[in-house]
Amino acid sequence: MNLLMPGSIPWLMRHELRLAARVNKKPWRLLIMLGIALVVMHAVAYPISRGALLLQNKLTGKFDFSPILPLLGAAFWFVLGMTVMNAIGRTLNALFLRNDLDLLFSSPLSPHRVLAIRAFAIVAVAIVPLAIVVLPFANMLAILVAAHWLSLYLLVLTIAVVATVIAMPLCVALVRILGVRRAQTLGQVVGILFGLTMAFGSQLGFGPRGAIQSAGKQWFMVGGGPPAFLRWSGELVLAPPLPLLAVLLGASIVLLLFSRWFGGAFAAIAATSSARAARAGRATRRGAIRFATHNLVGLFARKEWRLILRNPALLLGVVSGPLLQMIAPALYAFRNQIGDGEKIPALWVFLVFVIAQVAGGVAWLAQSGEDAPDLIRLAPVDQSTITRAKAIGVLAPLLAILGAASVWLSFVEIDYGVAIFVCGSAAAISCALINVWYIEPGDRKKFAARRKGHWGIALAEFALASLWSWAAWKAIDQHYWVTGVAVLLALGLLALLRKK
Amino acid sequence: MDRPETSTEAAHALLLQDVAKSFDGTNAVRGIDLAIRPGEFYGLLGANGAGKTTTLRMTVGLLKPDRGAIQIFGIDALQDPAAAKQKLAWLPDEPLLYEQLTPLEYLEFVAGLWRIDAKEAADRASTLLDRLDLWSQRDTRCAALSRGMKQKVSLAGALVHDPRLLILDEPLTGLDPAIQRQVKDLLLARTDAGCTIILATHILDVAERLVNRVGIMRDGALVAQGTLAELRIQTGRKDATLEDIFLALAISQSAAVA
Repeated sequence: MNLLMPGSIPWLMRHELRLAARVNKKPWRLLIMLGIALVVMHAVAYPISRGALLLQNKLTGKFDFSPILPLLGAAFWFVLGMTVMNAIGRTLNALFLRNDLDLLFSSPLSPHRVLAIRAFAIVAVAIVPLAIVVLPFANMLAILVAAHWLSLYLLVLTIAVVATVIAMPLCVALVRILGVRRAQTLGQVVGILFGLTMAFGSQLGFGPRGAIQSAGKQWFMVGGGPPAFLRWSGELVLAPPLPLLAVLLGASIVLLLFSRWFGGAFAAIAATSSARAARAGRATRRGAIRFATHNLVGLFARKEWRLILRNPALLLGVVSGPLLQMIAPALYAFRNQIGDGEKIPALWVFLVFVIAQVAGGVAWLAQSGEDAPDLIRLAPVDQSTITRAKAIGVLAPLLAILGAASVWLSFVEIDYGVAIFVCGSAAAISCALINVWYIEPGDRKKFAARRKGHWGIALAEFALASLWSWAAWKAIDQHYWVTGVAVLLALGLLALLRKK
Repeated sequence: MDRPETSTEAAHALLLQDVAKSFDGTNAVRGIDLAIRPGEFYGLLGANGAGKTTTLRMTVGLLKPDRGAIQIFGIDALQDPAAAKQKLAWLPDEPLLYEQLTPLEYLEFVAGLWRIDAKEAADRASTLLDRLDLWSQRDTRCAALSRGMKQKVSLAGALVHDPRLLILDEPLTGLDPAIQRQVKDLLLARTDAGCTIILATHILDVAERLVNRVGIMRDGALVAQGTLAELRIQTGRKDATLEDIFLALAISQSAAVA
């Protein structure tokens, strides 16, 4: 019997997995990368596992996992959270964003079967990052301690199925309430917040000073030890295969029941969800309308910010990039209290960096990511005037936000407010100028990939944002000569990059 | 309809003299001469790659010609593009839209680009939305509109600044018959009001019924132009339809043999 008979479950599954793999343009490259990642993770897992076991032996003279149960529990929740986030993204893509559902639902295949296969394909894809991180440790612990550690394989599978069970109804509910695009953005925002919380949460045990660390430690050690749910979760990680198997079976049944129950209604939601993204037209009779009067700057400011704010995914892309770049330095500052920790949080300096990068992003959208370049070129206005109007239009609201933040900061210490405003404005203008000088027409829908092939511009933007942040930091620390050096370097770089 | 007048009424709405353009050594347009009178509805026909779109894009200022002169109502479009653009509108086959703006916001933006008084622009927008059956969709984002509706919004954008010269490149492609009819009616109404229209199209039936005069391009050159009667005389085929004439003139010998 041919397992891959058209219309059969394995045939559909192969179709799903092939589509998932082709998200990457070169699937063979993806396979090589996965292979390398597995080898590297094994190389990392061996010394860590061995070191932990040696430490255990030294401390207790036997293999006792009870001291690290809360740590295992925290790791479990982290992994589950990340897998749920991953599954949400995959579910939205597989159920609502991919354009092949009309084809599948118009075929003689049952919608229940299509949905069930798609659900298990989500499990299969969600399992990959999990497997790369966890399974090398399972293998090493199985070699170094005992074979029962291989039950982590079962744990990984269970986590992936449970994550999908959580993600699928959640996505359906979100899409019904918010529409596809907003649901996708919300998923991304929650993912970023979750990642940031975990990144900062992992630092709770470090840093001798600061109210947050103290509060975190107090919460973590409440009742003389870590919270019970972490210990309980840790025990789940070390659980024998049978209970895990029961959970896996239960979750799989829930997934199948969901597909069965929801299959019919699903087609209708998928078909109408994209239309819900936009507001429906109102059937009203013609009446009076009013247009606002604007100069060119106002005209472009309204247009550009409307386009950005109405596309939550784009807005998220503009803001999340700089925020993610700031995680490592922010953690460093968090642990070491750069500057005068009593008066000025080091995070204020990061505002300069973030506003510069955001300014660069929105300037790119306005200049290079113009959706209707021919319309703009047809306008009876000098093109350099339009370029200038666009730049000022997108920068003005950012500078207003920076100004408001600086005024607030000035109540703490006026010098700090001035330093942040001056350096922040200069940084934002510098990054916007780069995008005015180097206009490379691109698709705003591919905002995240806008610097592909233009790494020099990306580097210049990063360098300018960093130099102005450095200048602000040193101005706050009253090392004015270093501020001068940073400002000179930034201006020198701008002069080098200047294009008429 | 009130419209700004040039100080001296120009003899030609559009005058192209020896306009040429090449891309990577390939001649897309070979020294074309074209004169279109004010108020005329002119059809520009030609097979794919004949040079129609390149000619029109040079006319509206989206491409710079390698040589030649372009005048729009007597204004040198190469010397003073802003003044020339003030008088024209361009509607390509792909709508020039912003997906996240509503039709109303789009028209407000376009009117602002052409520096039209806000009140006057609002009146015109209101009339156009009503005329094109877009009033009920005025607050719907363009992303949610059908292709036909998007094309109508784009047409409203082209007309909101009341151009004296309207240049359209395949505006009816992909539209259903009802929307095609609306667009055609609106175009005829504009020519009745004195607007000059240049229409590049493959739909010969539409050209035959709408335009006053036809120009046929082949391999970057204007090989014939005139009314249908004049073209019949030029080709020596008394009872020929526009399709017959088009096939005789627009398709190159090599393509015809192939």
